Amino acid sequence: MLFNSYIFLLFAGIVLPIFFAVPRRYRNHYLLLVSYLFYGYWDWRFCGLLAFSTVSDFFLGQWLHDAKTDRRRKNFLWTSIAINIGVLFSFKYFNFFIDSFQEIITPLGGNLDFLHLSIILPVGISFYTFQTMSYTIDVYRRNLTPTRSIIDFGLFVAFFPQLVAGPIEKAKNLLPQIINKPTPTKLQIREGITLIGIGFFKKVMIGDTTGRFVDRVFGEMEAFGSGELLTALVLFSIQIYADFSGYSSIARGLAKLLGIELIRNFEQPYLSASISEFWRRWHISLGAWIKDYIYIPLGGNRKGELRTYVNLMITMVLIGLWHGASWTFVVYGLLNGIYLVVHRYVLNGSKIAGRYAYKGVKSFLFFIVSVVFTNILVMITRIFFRSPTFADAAYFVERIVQWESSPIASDLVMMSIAFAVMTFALDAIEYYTQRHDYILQIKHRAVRYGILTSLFFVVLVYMFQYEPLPFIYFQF
Amino acid sequence: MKYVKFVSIFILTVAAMMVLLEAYIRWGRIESTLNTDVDPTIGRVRKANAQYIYYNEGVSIGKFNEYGYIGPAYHPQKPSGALRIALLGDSYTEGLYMAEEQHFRSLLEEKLQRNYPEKEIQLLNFGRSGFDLSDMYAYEKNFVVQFHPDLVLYVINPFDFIQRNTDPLVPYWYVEDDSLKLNMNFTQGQAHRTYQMMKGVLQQSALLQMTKNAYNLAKSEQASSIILDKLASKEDELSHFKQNYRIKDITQQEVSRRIITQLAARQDVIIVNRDSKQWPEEIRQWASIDSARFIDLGPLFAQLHETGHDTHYWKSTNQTGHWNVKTQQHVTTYLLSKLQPILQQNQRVLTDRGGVITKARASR
Repeated sequence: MLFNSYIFLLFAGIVLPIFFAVPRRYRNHYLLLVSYLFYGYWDWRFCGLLAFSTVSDFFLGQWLHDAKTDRRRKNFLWTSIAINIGVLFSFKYFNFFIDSFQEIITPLGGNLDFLHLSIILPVGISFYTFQTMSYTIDVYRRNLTPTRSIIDFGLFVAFFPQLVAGPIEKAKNLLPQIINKPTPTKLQIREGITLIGIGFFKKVMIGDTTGRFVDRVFGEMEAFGSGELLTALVLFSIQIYADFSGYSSIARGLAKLLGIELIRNFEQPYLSASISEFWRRWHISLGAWIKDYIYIPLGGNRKGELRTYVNLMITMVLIGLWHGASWTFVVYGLLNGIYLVVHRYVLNGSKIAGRYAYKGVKSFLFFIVSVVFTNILVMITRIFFRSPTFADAAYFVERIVQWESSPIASDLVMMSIAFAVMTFALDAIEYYTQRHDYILQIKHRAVRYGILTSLFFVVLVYMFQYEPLPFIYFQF
Repeated sequence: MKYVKFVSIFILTVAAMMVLLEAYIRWGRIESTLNTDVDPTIGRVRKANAQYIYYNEGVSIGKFNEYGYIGPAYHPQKPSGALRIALLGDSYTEGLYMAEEQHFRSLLEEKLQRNYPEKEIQLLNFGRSGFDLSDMYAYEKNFVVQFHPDLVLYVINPFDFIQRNTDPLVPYWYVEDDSLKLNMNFTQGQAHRTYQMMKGVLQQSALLQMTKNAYNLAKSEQASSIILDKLASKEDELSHFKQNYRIKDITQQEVSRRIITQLAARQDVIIVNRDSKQWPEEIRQWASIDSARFIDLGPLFAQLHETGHDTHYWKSTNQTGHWNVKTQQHVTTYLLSKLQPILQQNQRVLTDRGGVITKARASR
C-alpha cells in the first residue's frame, strides 16, 4: 500500500499503537507479520518470493560463517549472489535481454518471442535483493556475525518502512538494531512524527502535484507544445526528488517510531556545486552499496587514472541498469559516468569540494553558477530517465530545439517557479540546519505544532481529493 | 496564562502557514479558487477572468475569458460581417480536460476560417460540464442569446434528455398549463444563501476551495473507497454510478420533448449527436432526425472503431474519458464536412454583412 494513501494511514494507526502494547520479546515477530501484511497488500504472491530470498540468505549466511575453508565460504557467497541476481534477472532483466537480442537476430530471420515471459515485477525487488546480498557479503568479509534468528533476519529483509523503496540498509547498521528490539525514546517519537510530516508534504504537495502534470505530458508528448515539454522536464526533476526524498523521510520517521534509525538517503543534492558532489548527495544508500560492493572491488581509484575512469563508467552504467531494464537507463548511466570522468579529469587530482561555506560575494556567486550548471547537467540525463524509449527522448529534444510558444506560457513559468522555490527553500533550510527534522530546531513548541498541523492538514485534504501517485522508485 | 499564550501562538502560526500554503497552491497551479458566480438572470456561470485548473484524463489550465466562457473573448456585440456560431453542450463541449487549442472548437474555427477567408468566423464555446438539454436550453435563452449567434450547435447525447436538476443554482424548465416555463427562483433557496455566504471566501482562497471539495467528497459515497481503497466493497463504488446514471424511460421526459421539438423547428439550430449509439426512435422523431440540420457523429465513431482507434482512451493517463486529442481532430473534420453544406444552403448567413440572422426563429 502506498504511504500517501488513507488505507496506509489506517494501517499505521492500527499497527503502531499495538506495537507499544506487544511485549518486547515478541515485537520482532509482530513487526515481521505486519511487514508481510504490508507487502502482501500489493499482491500476496510477492510474499513467496520475499520469503524465498529471506530463507535462502539466512541459511547461506550461517553456512558461510560456519564454513571451515575459504573455498567453501566463497561457494556459499557466490551461491547467495547467484540466487539474488538470478531472481532479479528473471523478474526484471530477462525480457529486456530477450528483446535486445531479438532486435539483433530479427534481420537474420531469428525469433525469440517464445522465450518472452509474462511476468509482473515484484514491488521493491531491487531494494531487498541488494539488501540481502549486502548481508552475505559482509558475513563473508567477516564484518558481520550472522544472526541465528530467522525472525530477526526476516525482519531485516522485510522491515516495512524501507522494504519497497529503501533506503538500502547495510546489515551491520540495521540488523543489530533489530536484534536489540529497541523501544523508541520520546525524542525519536518527536523526530519521527516531524520527519513523517515533512516527508508527506514533500511527497504529496510537491511530488504528486508536479507528477500529475509530468505524467500527462510525458505520456503523450505529441499532444503538447515545447513550453509544456520543457516545464514537464523541470517539474520531473523536482518530482523525482520530492517523491523519493519525501518517501525516505516518511520511511525514516516510521522507523524512528519503532525505535530504529535508518540512514539518510539524500543530502540536498540540488544544492551540489558539481556532479561528483551530486552523486554523494543523491540516493546515498545505493551509491554506498555500489561503492562498497562494486567500485572498490573493481579497484576503485587505486589502479591508475585510466582504470579509475573505467571503474566509474562501469558503476554508473550498473546504477543506470539498476533503475530499469531499458537502454534509456543505460544511456542515463553512461551520461552520468561521462560527467564524473570529465569532472575527475578537470579536477586533476584535487579533492572534490565539500559543503559550501560562505566566503564572500564572489564565492557565493560562483557557487550559484556551479549549482545551476550542475542542475542543468542532471536535467539533461533526466530526459533519458523519464522517456519510455530512445525515440521519445529524441522526439523530446527535437521539440525543444524547434521551439513553439505556448498559450499558457505564463502559467507554466509560475508553476515551475513555485515548485522550484519550494524545493530549494526546504533544501536550503536542511543545508543550513544540517537536519532533516529542522522543524524541531524551532524553540517554541506552539510554533512547531502549528507548522506540523498545517502541513498534515493540507496533505490530508489534498490526498482525499486526488488519487495518490505511486512512488516513482516503486517501479525499480 | 501559559495555556492562552500557547494557543494564541499556535493559532497565529497556523494562520501564517495557511497564507504561505495559499500562495504556494495558487502559484503552483495546484488548485484554483472558486471559478463560478451566480447571476440572478442566468444562474451559475463561469466567473469572468477566473483561473481554472483541471486534471482529468488530460490537463486543462487556463482562464475563462472576460465574458465567462472558454476561448477567445468575443464581445456580445457581434462585429459587422462576422459569422458567429455558438456551441452548447456538456463537458465534451466545454473541454475542461484538455488544452483549448486542441479542442474541436478551436480546430473547427481555424478550419472554417481557412475555408471562408472573406468572412470573420467566430465559434463561441458555451458548453458546461454537467449540463443536460434543459440546462443548455435555459442557458441559451438567458445568456447565449446576448451574443447574437447566427447558428447554435447543440452537441448532445440521449442521456442529456433526462432532466437531472443536479445544480440547485441554475433555472429549470417545467410544464404547466401545457406550456414550457422556466423557474428562476434559484436565488430564493437555502442553496443560494449558503453559496452567497461562502462565495466571498472560496473565490479568494484556493486552499479553502480544496478543503470544500474534499469535504464534499467525504460526504459522498466515494468516501469509503477513498479511505479503504480496494478493501471497500465494490457495491459501494458502483452504487454511486448506478444511482446517478441509471437510464430512466427517456420517452417520459416531457420537458426535453418540448425543448427538442422547438429546437428542431428552428432554422438557426443544428443538433449534433455526440454519441456512438443511435437515438431511441421516439427522440429521433422529436428531433426530426432526417432534417438537414442534424449531424450524427455515430457513423464517424463506428468508422474509427473499425480502424482500431479508441476514441476515448487517453494514453497519457491510461484512462478512458472524453474524446482524446486524435478524436477531436476527427470530429472537427467530420463536423466541417457536415457544416459546409448547411452553411452553403444558408448563403445569407455567409454573405450577410450585417451579421444578423435573417431566417425566422421558431416561437419559444
